Amino acid sequence: MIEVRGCMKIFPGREGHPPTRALDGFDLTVRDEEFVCLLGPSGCGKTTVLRILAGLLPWEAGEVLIDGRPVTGPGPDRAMVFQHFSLLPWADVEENVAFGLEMRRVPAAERKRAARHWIEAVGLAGFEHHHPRQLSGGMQQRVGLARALAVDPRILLMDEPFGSVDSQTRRLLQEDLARVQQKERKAVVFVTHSMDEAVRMGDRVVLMGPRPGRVIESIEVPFPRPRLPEVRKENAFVELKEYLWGRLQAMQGDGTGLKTQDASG
Amino acid sequence: MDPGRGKRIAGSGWRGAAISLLAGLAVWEIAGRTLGFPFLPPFSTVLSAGLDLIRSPEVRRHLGISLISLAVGFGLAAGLGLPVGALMGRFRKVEYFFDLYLHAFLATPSLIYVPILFALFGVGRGTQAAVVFLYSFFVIVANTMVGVRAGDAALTEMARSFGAGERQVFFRVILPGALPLVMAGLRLGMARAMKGMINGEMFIALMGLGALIRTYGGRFDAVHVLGLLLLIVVVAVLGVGLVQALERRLARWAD
Repeated sequence: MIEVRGCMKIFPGREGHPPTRALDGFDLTVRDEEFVCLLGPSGCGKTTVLRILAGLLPWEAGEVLIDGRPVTGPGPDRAMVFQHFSLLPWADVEENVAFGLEMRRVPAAERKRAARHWIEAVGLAGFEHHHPRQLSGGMQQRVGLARALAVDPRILLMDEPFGSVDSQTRRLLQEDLARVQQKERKAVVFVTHSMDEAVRMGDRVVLMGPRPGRVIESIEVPFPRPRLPEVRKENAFVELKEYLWGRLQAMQGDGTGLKTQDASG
Repeated sequence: MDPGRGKRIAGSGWRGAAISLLAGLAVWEIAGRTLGFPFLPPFSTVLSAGLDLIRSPEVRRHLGISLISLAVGFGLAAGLGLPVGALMGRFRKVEYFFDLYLHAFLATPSLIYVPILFALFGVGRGTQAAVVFLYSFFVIVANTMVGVRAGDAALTEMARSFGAGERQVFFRVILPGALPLVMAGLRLGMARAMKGMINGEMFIALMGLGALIRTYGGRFDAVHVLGLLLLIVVVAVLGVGLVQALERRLARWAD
């Protein structure tokens, strides 16, 4: 239900710098309930794609459609989770989780009820009146996730959500998200740097090339759902990870990117 | 995060300050008794003179006059300074319009306003409040402006992603985020307001604590001058301390 066709995004240059072509000819299709991971080298435009889908950025060419309608701005069908959590430091957990609903002018009683429900769903019951500075990174991101889920979006846009926590917390959060996704069945666009994370979480991995960003390859992840953590031990998992790493490595070494790439990768 | 650790650190700060104060007072007492300088009476004498002053209805009247000009002047400075600073921080055009005046007044030593204001408007309590106002207004505007302008871009984008309109972004993200700097501006403004209060009163020497200082100073009455000084220091510390307590309460999250 997300369709991006031939999207081009140019950031104007500042003070003597030339403009940046962040995306060029970018195509993406995401079906309902599909978990798509965007994987690519630094600077390839992954976050730009997310911000365009969120309705935060305009674009210069191409189409960006959600359920057949062009994106014109942020909407109640989408919610974002941020790498650095973006929680309000002066508000407590309950106010932070309710924040999205408050921006959508949902009445207070309903906001409170929804906030409490999602706080419990992400495992933070009892922490309603804590402030972000009293929480660990993993807990803060759970707040961010609860905030996004509280507005009941059909699409979750996640910008390297686990990139700011340590690797153990990262694994725990991945498991939590997988469990939530199993229940909620949102369409998810998940930006990541990690091959391991992309294969663990995604139904499909979309590999992006270096700037200007476009899709190099789209790979179905061959594991059924519900997907247990043990899937990491399977041969097919390791092979897919290594394949992705091989493709990414080739991109880093060759500054011009993979313009003419044959099937032998 | 060990909550006990914070308490221990704060505790040792208080003990250190108390010890330092006692040591200072002890030195003052000893020096006063042994050196015999006419302008350095021992602390105990000054303290008892200070207490006499507080008990005197005449001094209380002067104190009241001082505090009223302080309250009116500072109240106006905050009441006007906060919205002006917020508008300057929010709208570039407003900033460019007032920036020239802001910098000019901030750069000028505030003592200059005193004789000018009294010459222009006469020796009234209104003029006194105007002095206090001018001393503190610009500092409050400058800090509020910077606080509002430094709105967290990431939080603003987050709010927009959830469909926040411009007013919601301003009142729910930018203003609360500006609070620590706004409170710092109010704290600095209060300290400057105190200075304005005393300076203005000393200049015209008609009423208020500043006037009393000149009266006693004119009589070379060191004991009472120092007693008044003690009183003024206590008032200043209380005034600034009040704002600081408010600051801690409202901007606790910014540590």
